[in-house]
Amino acid sequence: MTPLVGFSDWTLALLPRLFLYPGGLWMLAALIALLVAMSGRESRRYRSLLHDLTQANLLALATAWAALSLLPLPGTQPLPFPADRLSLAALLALSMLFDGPSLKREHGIAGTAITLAIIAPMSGGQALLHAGATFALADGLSLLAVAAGLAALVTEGAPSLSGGVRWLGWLGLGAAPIWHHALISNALWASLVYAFAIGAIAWVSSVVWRRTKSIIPIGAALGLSAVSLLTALLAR
Amino acid sequence: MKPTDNGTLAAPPMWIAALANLALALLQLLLFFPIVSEGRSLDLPIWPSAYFEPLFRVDGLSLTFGVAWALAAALAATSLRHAERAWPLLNVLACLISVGLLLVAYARHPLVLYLGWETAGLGLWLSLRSLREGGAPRWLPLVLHLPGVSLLLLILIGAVYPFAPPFGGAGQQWALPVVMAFALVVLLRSGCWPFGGWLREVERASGGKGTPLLGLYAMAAPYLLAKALVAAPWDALGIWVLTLSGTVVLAGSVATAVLTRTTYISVAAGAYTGAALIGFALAPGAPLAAAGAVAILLSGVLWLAAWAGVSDISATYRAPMLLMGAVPGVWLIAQGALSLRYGLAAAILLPAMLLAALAAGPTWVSLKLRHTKAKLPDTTPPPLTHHASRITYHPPPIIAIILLLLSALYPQVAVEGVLRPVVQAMAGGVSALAGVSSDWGVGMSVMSPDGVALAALPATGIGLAVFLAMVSLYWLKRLAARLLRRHAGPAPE
Repeated sequence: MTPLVGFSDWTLALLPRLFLYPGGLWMLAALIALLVAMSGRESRRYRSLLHDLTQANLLALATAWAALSLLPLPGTQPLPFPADRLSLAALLALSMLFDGPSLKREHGIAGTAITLAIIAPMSGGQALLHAGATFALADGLSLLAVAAGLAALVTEGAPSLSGGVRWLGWLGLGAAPIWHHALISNALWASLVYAFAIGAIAWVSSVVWRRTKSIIPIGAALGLSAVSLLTALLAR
Repeated sequence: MKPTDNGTLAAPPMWIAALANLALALLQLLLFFPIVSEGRSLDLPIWPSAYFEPLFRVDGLSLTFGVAWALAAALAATSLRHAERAWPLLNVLACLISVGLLLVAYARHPLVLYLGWETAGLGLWLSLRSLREGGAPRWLPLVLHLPGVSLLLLILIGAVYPFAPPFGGAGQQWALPVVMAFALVVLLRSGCWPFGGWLREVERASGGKGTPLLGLYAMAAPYLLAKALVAAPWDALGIWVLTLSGTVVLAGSVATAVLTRTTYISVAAGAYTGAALIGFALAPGAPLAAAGAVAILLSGVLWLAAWAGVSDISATYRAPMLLMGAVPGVWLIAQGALSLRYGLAAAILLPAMLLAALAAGPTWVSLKLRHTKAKLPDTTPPPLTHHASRITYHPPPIIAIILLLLSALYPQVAVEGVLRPVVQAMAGGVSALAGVSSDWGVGMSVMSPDGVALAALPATGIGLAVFLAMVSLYWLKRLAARLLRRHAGPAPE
């Protein structure tokens, strides 16, 4: 295969992912659901969304969008050249850094905890590409850590557009072992899992952790990540 | 000297040092690239008598770092700010550092490496003294030259042999005490945790003026391990000890950045050195890790050269560029570590580099310097903070930015053109870089000997995805602005 053919195949496989599912239209629907769940319907009219778009950091948003569209969600065609978990986690981390001065210190630490949680289960294997193929205890702990980190990110209110897309990307990466389950085989199931996760995390962050500072979910995310890492190392 | 708009003095002409270093980089390429590109190496000088060992060695490793350091020194010279005092001397001293580093890069005999390092240290100390009154603490010469004493002792007792692959096969392994001494020298010279105090204090004392030179000096330290791998590997215990040291340094550096007050150069030097230490530690068992360590060191040198002197609005991109440049190296080391079953090192690399990048960002640093303002003298300019009222445009060196972007978006070039010859040069301690394959259209992958894909980094493909998303967002943003204006109605008269 020549480099040009490889590039062409990649581009053809990328376009539906980028503009339909999991990026593009599906991403927009999921983002609206996330913003509504986090801040209520009234504050999320379409004018508010347009205003957010005009104020958005395009580079951070585009990087998060690209990461989301490359996720191995159910119902997507496999990419001709796969992207391993570390590459996607790095892309989402990069998106967070592009947010630059607008990024709060707590959000930076929460993002680091989520990145550690995503990477932790793969320390039990021997390849970056095969991480998450089967569901192990470390994967479950990692998923809980990601959920705690995501709750920390929305404790103080709805995220920005780039933060929201990144949130969806982190959720998709953290839930990678779930996507391999035989029952969850298409985009509808993936959407249901996302809807449930958004609702559950929104409820936890608004009811359980409403009166606490984000330090508690961040601490939970870091602790669970460390336990997940330890479990993966011991299970090898 | 003419005052600028913000009241500081204009930088004096440091272009002499910059041009001299650029010329050095070009000269090395002209002289040695034809030899290295054919996969050969050259020992110099060729003595008439067989009684003397050659002093210098030209191979892929030495050429790569010789050119990278000369280029970084040129960029660092252009970044030296507020050097209103004794600028002719400063030009000479900046060149002295380069000469010292070139001796280190091309050393074949350990004594040449030692002398080169001491020369670079001397140049750094004198430069910091020239840059600013009190810019170099009294204890600095001791800190710079003391680690060299242990190296000199090892050389004198014959524990360190020439940095050249043994004739006709694998050489003897480095003894564990020597490996540990190497690691200690690297940690002391790079100024990373737990020895980061001197780097932090010197940077503060120089008011941020000496940052580019300090960064260059610190990032040269782990090269000692690469040189050692040219001659011989370390055994399994050596791998374990060095990996543990690297992991502790990496975790300690970023934890310090979160929990205490520090400067971004200390954080970056600690993170880069820790990651490189892990990579070089694993190198005898995993050539991927050796390639990753070299990639990390090169990106570290370029990053520091690009951003060390930047203190204004351009500093916003300091953090993402750190991670972007480091990702290919982190990816290579992580896969190398997994293949040797060092899962902990593989797992913490990316989060640690992310935290280091966050800590190197302008908001994080300015927060800390606000706390430490009382410690700085009144004449100190606010060099590392991002104040809206003081925004001046001081563009980072574009060459370093282009190279960092290229390494992030098209790492295939770096792997095939730089890392493969460099790993080949470490023939005494590292086997050939066989597992990595480059798809020139999309990215890189790592294959197992039986053809199973172990890791895949579609960096170019990801770059395309980000570009397409960016173009779409640009037009959507314009459309959104137009719709908002229409809803707002005509502006009141």
